[in-house]
Amino acid sequence: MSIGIGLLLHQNFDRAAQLTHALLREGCRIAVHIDAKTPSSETEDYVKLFANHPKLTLTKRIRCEWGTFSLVRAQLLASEAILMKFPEVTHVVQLSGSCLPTRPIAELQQFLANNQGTDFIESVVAGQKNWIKGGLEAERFSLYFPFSWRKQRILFDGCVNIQRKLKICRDMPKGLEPHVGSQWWALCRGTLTAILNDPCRREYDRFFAKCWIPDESYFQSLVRKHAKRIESRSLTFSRFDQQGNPMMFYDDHLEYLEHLEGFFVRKIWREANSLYETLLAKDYTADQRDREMRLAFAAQTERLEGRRNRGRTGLSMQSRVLKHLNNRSETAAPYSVLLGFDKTFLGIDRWLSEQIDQPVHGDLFAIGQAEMAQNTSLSKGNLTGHSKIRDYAPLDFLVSFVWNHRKEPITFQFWSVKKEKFFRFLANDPNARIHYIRYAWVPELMRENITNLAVLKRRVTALMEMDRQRIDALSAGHANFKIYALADVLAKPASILYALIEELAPKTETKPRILPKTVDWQGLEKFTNLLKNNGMNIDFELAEHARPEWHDAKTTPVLIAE
Amino acid sequence: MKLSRSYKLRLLRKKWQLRTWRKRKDLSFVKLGDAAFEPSGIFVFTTLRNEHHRLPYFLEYYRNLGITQFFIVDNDSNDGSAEYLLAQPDVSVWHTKASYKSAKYGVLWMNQLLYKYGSKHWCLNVDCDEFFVYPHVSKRPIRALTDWLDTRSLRSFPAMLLDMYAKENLEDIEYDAGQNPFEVLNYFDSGNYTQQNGGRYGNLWIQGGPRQRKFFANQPRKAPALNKIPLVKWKSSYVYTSSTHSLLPRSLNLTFDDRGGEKISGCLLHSKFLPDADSKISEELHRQEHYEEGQEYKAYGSQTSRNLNFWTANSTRFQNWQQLEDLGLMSSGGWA
Repeated sequence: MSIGIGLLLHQNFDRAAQLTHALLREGCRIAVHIDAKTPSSETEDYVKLFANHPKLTLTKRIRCEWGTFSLVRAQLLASEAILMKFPEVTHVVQLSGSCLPTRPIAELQQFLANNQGTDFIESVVAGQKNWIKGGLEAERFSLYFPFSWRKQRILFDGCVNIQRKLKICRDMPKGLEPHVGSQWWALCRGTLTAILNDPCRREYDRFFAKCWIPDESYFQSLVRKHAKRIESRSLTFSRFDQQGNPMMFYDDHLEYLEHLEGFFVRKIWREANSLYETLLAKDYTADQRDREMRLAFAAQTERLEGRRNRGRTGLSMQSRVLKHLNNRSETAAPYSVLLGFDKTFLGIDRWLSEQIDQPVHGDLFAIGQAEMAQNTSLSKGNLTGHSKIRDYAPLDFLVSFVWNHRKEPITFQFWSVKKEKFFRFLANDPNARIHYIRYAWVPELMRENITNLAVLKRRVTALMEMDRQRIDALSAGHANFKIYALADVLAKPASILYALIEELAPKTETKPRILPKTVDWQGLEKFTNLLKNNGMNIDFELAEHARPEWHDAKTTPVLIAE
Repeated sequence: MKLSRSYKLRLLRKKWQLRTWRKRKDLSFVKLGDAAFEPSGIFVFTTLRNEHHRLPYFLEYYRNLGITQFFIVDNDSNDGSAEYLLAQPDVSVWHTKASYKSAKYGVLWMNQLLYKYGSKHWCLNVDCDEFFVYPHVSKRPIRALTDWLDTRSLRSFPAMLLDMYAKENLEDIEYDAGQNPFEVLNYFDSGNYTQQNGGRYGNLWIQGGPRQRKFFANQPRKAPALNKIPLVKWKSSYVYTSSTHSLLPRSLNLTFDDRGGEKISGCLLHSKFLPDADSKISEELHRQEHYEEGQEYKAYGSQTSRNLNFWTANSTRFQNWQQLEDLGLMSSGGWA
């Protein structure tokens, strides 16, 4: 017995010659189809080398166009030639010029000898959307494709759209069910002979000649009619990305190749010298296939391929621009924002940082330099807190800050009046966990001792409006948030702070003994009464009994009555 | 895009072509390298002035990547660069005494050579202190990249300028000609870059890095642009419009994804801050041949340039391209 190889070539004939030599050396019989489009200047040497080789035959050349029936015809020509010329052939394997063996050919021979009567061809029922990546599926069979996809893209697309509108639907020939799969198959002699001699073959050919990419469906469908036993997998490993482009293999993939499924791999980059040298060497041997290596290969490939479609969340860089679509901010990692805590407790950031053993930054958007933990002016990645640089592109600053610290917990404070656009960004970020003390500005305002009532009134109205807008933004946005009432915080600081520590660092065990001092709020009641009596509707006691609760974007927030 | 706008851009492109044509007499031909017309060649285009001690490693680096031919405009060097270039078989040389500034900072010279020699080739446009890093650079030659770009029908490839600096003060750095500059300049800023979208050429505008934080903290808007598109499959109708920051037609500048994915990109490691930097800075200040009256050089000059040091405890030590990708400075964009 021996293996027959149908080899389709259209470029890189020096590489093809290397492959052909190696296959012949191992005792394969080969039928070569050379694309008629390739100028003879390129193919000359190859033809001269092999024209008179007893174990190789060159078929009639036809012009091949990707996506059309011409490729099936080329495969048919090669298959016919093998069956006719080499009666000793038991299995026919389809390969292209950019394939290489990953296991010794002797091993393949042994494998096929052990599997007499089995056809190895990927053959999946069409229309289940699990095999084809990017492109038409069931419509490959039901529509007409008179235009070239590569050269007449507009006409091609237009033609498909019109046919969809006209609801054109061709019927499959009787007795066939559409199947799709890789065109790099290995069929046994009996099955292939039956396919070639099928009494309805003329009808089938006519039908498939009008299908799209029939080389991925012709044999795959017909084999279902004639095969005795099908193993639906290809012996040639290939991989396609989300856009349907085949993966290229380079020298650095060498260590993985022998562990991949199958006996061949495609496509090989034409200048992958060490792949050609190693895999085509006379004494090439391969180790036992190692599952770990195969998984490592899959993981690495998926990680790199995945970049193109999904990208890394929250990364803003030269080839990925963040658009913050649908009012939804995008950052790289969860972070906590404290609002009003520094207005209520003295030295809260340092105290909190000690309790949870994590950095707690001050107001990153403070007027003047960003107040980063430990009073540094540069943070990770040399991101500077310099006010002019930060304010030059404030959103980039935050996005970079979160990206740079994405592998560690992030907590910072925020107050910064007049940064409302920025607050809305936070409120729309699903990564943000916002702790908000309402009316936190009151004690500070009280201590300012403003005697001019008109001025005071103006200040209070502005601050209340800010509070209201922020809460509106939170309830409309995507961030998780928790609203505290000032009176509550002042009355029970311990329970509020313990809960906060619990949340920022759930594993913290020892309860702190010394609480940070609250700001001086002597006379707060008198001050609020003063405001109320002057017509300002400031009502924070109302919330005194309400426990602060988490609101995530999905539930309707329970707001404190105004 | 509106028709009128796209027509305006077309006129603009013609204007740049005309400008290029008007400067055709600037360059006087010196010599053509051996493989200047090789149909499958990948070419480097460079303008330089007094770079003798940077040249050996520059040529070596790009030869190792698989560059077959260098097209170099020598802007009147007097340090032996010209003689050195003459002795290199794979270098084509032009000489000019004309003003770098009036040739739009060398852009018009580059456009001219690209038009004449670059068409249908992948062309890499870099300065002598820029070292191109792309995904898999350590294991795959540049032709692997350009072949891959061809299969994806991509015509241009972005690479952000990454300023590299030493841990020592400028005056304490030791560098020998021919040495890999990144043995000395082995630190960079990893996370302080800003991207601005828009502009009439559609390109991204990237700023940040050590020069912005050190020299332009009070006027960040004026910090140097770091976005570059150095690698292009050239056509005779293309023009660079401002250094290698942007090109026309506009579609060549759209090298980024704004729907969540990452397109492929690389970095240009910038070895500007070698020991000769301070003498260069004072020379350029004197010549006033650089961008915006040497805004940048003025800013450097105002610092005591001999003690120049960008290093901080937050600087990142350079390892390899994977590190740059993990940090999010470049992306393999689906090239596995």
